Amino acid sequence: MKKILMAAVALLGGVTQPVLAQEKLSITPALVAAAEKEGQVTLQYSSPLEAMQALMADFNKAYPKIHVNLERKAGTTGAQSLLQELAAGVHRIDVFAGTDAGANSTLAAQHAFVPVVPENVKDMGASATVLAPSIYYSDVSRYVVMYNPKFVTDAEAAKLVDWKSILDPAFKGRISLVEPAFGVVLAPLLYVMNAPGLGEPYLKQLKAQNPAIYLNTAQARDALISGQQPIAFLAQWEAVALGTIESGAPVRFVYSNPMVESLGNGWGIVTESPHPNAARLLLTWLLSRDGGLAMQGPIYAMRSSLTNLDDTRAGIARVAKESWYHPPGEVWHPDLKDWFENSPKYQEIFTNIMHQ
Amino acid sequence: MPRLRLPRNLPALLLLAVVFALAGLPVLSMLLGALRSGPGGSFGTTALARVFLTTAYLKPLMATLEIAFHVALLGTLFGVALAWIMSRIRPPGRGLLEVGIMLPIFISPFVGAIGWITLGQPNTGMINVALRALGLPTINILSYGGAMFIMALFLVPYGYTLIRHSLDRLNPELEEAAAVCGAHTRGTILGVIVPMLWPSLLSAFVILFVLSAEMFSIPGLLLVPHGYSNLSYAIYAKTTHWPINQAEASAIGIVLLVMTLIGMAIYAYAVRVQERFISIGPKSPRAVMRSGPWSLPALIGCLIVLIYVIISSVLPVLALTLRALLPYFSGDFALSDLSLVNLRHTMADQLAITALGNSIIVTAGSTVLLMMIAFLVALGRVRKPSALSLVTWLVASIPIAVPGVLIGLGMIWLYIRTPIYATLAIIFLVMLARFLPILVRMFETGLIQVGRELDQAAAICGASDLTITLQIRIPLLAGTMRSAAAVVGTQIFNELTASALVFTSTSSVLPVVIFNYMFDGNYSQASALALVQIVILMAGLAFLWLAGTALPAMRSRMQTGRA
Repeated sequence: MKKILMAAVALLGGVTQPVLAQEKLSITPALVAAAEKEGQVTLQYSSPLEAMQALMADFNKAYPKIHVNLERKAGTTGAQSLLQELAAGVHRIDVFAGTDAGANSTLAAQHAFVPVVPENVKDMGASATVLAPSIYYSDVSRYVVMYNPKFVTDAEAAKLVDWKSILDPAFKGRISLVEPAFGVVLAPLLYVMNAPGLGEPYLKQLKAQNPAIYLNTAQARDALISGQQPIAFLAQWEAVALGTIESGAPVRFVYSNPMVESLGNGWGIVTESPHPNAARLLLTWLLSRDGGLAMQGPIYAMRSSLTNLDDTRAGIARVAKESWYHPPGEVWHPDLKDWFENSPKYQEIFTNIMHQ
Repeated sequence: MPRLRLPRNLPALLLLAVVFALAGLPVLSMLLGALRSGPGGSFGTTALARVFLTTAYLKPLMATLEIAFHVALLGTLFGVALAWIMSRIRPPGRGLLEVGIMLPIFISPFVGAIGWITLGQPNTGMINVALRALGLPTINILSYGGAMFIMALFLVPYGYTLIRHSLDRLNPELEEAAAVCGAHTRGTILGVIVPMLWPSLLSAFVILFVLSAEMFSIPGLLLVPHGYSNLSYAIYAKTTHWPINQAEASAIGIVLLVMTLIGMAIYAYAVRVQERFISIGPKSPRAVMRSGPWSLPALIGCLIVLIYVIISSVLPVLALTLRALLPYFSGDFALSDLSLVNLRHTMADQLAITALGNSIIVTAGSTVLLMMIAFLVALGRVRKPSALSLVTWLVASIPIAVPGVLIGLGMIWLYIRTPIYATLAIIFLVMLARFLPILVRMFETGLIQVGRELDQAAAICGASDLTITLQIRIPLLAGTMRSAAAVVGTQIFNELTASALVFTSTSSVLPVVIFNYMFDGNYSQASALALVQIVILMAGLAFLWLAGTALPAMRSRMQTGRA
């Protein structure tokens, strides 16, 4: 805990102070040639495999001579693995992508990443650069409450917009939660812990609703589709909801009011990466307009954090025509200082209450 | 010129060194890990103090002991029933039934649990849909009883093998003497067989207890979401929730290790007692039922075994097959929803293909290495008992109760600064450490049952130890070796927890890819790949059977024909 605090303080201090020499990143013929000479890049990531394969397929359309080695180390175990490797002097990974702001900030504080500044940094939203120049957030996660319309009526679904309505006795035994072990699950927990009228008492009331608490978000979705736990709460986000709907599964979603919007994938170039040019090319492309469009593609389906890029996602355009769809109202963004400092404490509170 | 004299016990010392490097070092590394406060950090006793000097883990410990006891009891009872039917009632089609009983070990418990969730979840489980349609009461697999039942089903083959082996090798003359003296079947069972069999029952119970205590996959998927917490879950949480506390995870692992050491001491005692009830060479067991394979008792026995096979293997594999053919599972489907798209996608995924190749290489290579090392360890323990062979046996046995995730952590700490790290070699080492104990157990049981009189006779005739091993021990253990290769090869092919920590983009193995598909929510593609995994395993087993049984028989027939 003390270590995390120190890391966060050091990091926040670092953001406001003149930092180490920051390398400007732009795609030049020389960089492409050098990257192609290296021929490969190893990406350690946490997102779903299919989404990352689709994103990298788009990268390879632009740069077919660079093979991307995909290495999935999901959740915080990936950050831990990278920390251990760097501490041991093992430099294997070129680019890292992780969603947990706490884990990412610890990695940044340990100088795990090369400080860089992409040429289009001015086009990125404020939340995208919160861990700059070490990490850039290319996309945003929007939290949704997913439900199975075969088991949840329209009237019940309408209630789910309100955070407190989940405590309605009608929902008892029908809700799933997910252990807050991953970045995407932590953000809504941060809202719960900070919102007036919610906090620990709310979590206790939620526990009284007899929810199933799954180890990961996929299990919760599976239980939702099968009807076992037809309401997935606190742990699902728009992109996976769109993908699940696309597969034809009986799934719909509502945005809570306020909707929690937080950091998506944070990307950084690992220090002493074995393929430094390919790593720079990949990161620069990911943060570019082309990368943003690829992220808004049909499978990755995340909303780009580039402020000058409209929401081009076909999935959103499709569900927007459905009668059950209602766009988000008020938006709530987590306080990242709170995330860095308090997320372990919030996780512990959640676990203690839910595993009583 | 003076001759260099090597110490007499040099081979035994070398074996100990190899076993220590393979099985002892990762466990030692894990133990040291309990003293680490972070990567490259200082050493301290905070984690050990929290685990051993507070009540923080008392509840998970009690839950672990409770479920392990229940599963071991149920699994042993199932094992006894099946072994009794197969050995003494002798139903028709024993060869096929034998394969059927062993099927659960060829299905990863993780994959099997997914199959059983599909079958038995209360709302839309396939069995429950059928039961509801028939107006019958439904089942809830997402309950303590459900998880206990599924764990027992998956572990039965381990208990069955131990008990069946002993039942087959019990000296039949004692049973015949009881029959000659007028004892009825019940009297023979209670007065002769049970007193001779109890060491095997105890061994089976202990092994099942230890394996259940360590298991995470089934309780993790079936029970943890509903508020259950045991030691393996506590380890999982400490290795996945940020901030990760690997030291505390290792300290929790020590609790499991202590439980195993106690279990192993009981097991060693049982094995020693078991030696009193052996026969020399392979003798046929005595059939209790003499009325032929098509008699009513034999048919009832056959039916019982078939029900077990259907529940333990056929139903979960059918559920998996269905999931592999559907885009998603929502409890109902039309025939037009079924397609091979998931299988095609899976077989086109380069990650899956690479992982499949790696899995085959690792399985073949480490099975061969394990067979050699485990045979030598068991041989030392059974035929050349000494302090050295006992220590070697103990070191080889220790990893049995160390959860896979902690073996993985131990391996990382041990090899991260070496060229082995992040290569396929570390996956090999993981397999050698994790599965040496199981194989040693199998060879040990096999060697005990064939007795040592034949060895002694050959030695008196001047045969060297090598000759005795090649011409007596190995031929007599041919069946055990085939079983051992099948069991351990399967375990290696299905290993997930440790591999998931040490894999890289180029050294991934099949279970890791299946797990990642599931982690993404892509259960259909995961099921498709799991089916591919099962088919490959079956093909490997068919090859083993062909190589071990059919080909020698064919050769023998040809030689007889020529003569």
